[in-house]
Amino acid sequence: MKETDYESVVAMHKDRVHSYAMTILRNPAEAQDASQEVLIRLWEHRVSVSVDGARSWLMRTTHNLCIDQIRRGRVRSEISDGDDIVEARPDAGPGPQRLAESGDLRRLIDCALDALSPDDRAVIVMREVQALPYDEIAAALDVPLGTLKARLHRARERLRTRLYRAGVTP
Amino acid sequence: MSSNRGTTCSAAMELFHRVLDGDLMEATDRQGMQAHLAVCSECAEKAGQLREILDLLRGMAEQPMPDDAMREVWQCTVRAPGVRTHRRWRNWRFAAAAAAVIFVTWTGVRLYPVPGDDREALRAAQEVRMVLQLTANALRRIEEVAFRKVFAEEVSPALQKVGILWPRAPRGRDGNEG
Repeated sequence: MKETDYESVVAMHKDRVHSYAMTILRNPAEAQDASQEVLIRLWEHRVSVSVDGARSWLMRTTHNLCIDQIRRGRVRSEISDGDDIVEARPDAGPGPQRLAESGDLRRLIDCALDALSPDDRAVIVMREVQALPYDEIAAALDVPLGTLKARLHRARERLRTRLYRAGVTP
Repeated sequence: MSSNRGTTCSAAMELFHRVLDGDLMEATDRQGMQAHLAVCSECAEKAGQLREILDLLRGMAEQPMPDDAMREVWQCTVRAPGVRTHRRWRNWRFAAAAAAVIFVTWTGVRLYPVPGDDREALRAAQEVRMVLQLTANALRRIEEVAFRKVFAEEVSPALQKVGILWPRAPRGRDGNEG
């Protein structure tokens, strides 16, 4: 990758990297630091990373960096874990449209994602939010395709249960 | 757990996830799943919820990287000292040479002497020579500045590392003595 390619690749993927770090780390300052580190690492490895493989490289590096930080216990979530919200509404809630209008929907989804394990959260975000292809996600997470799909199915079910309890789904 | 044509709830939901994955599946599997969802309200409700949740997730906006964070990334990468100095310098030199050629041509046309007027021709030639001299001096000056910058930012620190030059007092990020 040339220097000029680096600029265009970063311009294209920087928000994806930051969104992913934000969803996994749940801490704006830590997510910003992690995103910066990933983009600087790409610069340092630009000779060995092709333009076509840059997105996969960025996602794998972002994921590994975030998981390392979580394992080292360096990250402290600055966002409410949402248990109070999720558990307080066992009955059918107001539905997604009213929640979206009140601005609570994003927060409830974030809380439900937060309740998942980092690995489950990773597959949900990469596949269902960022719509990355399966082979790229499997490469980023370093798991076989079958394992990835099983993890995705489980994560979807857990997310559904959380959001159902929160009243997001009717 | 209910079943329809041999498809249990768990099998039907597993097949439904494969539909969400976009997997191709056997016609019999698809029909079995659809038949199960048609008679099992619990699974049909779960399937509807899953679809709704995935629609919500796909509509979530990205959280953009803050501009000040990106500025720091650029300063550590493509705008780091020395990284693009040579390229910028080459661009500068090309631009300066192009400007000089245009200016000299323009001057030549403007001062082109009337045929037969030797004094006018001599004056025009001297002015063109002066412009060329000024252009050459300017290019030399730019080259010196670029050389000093490269020396200060790259050569000097490298020499300091191997102990050839005494290191300067450390400076803070904002340039203050620290």
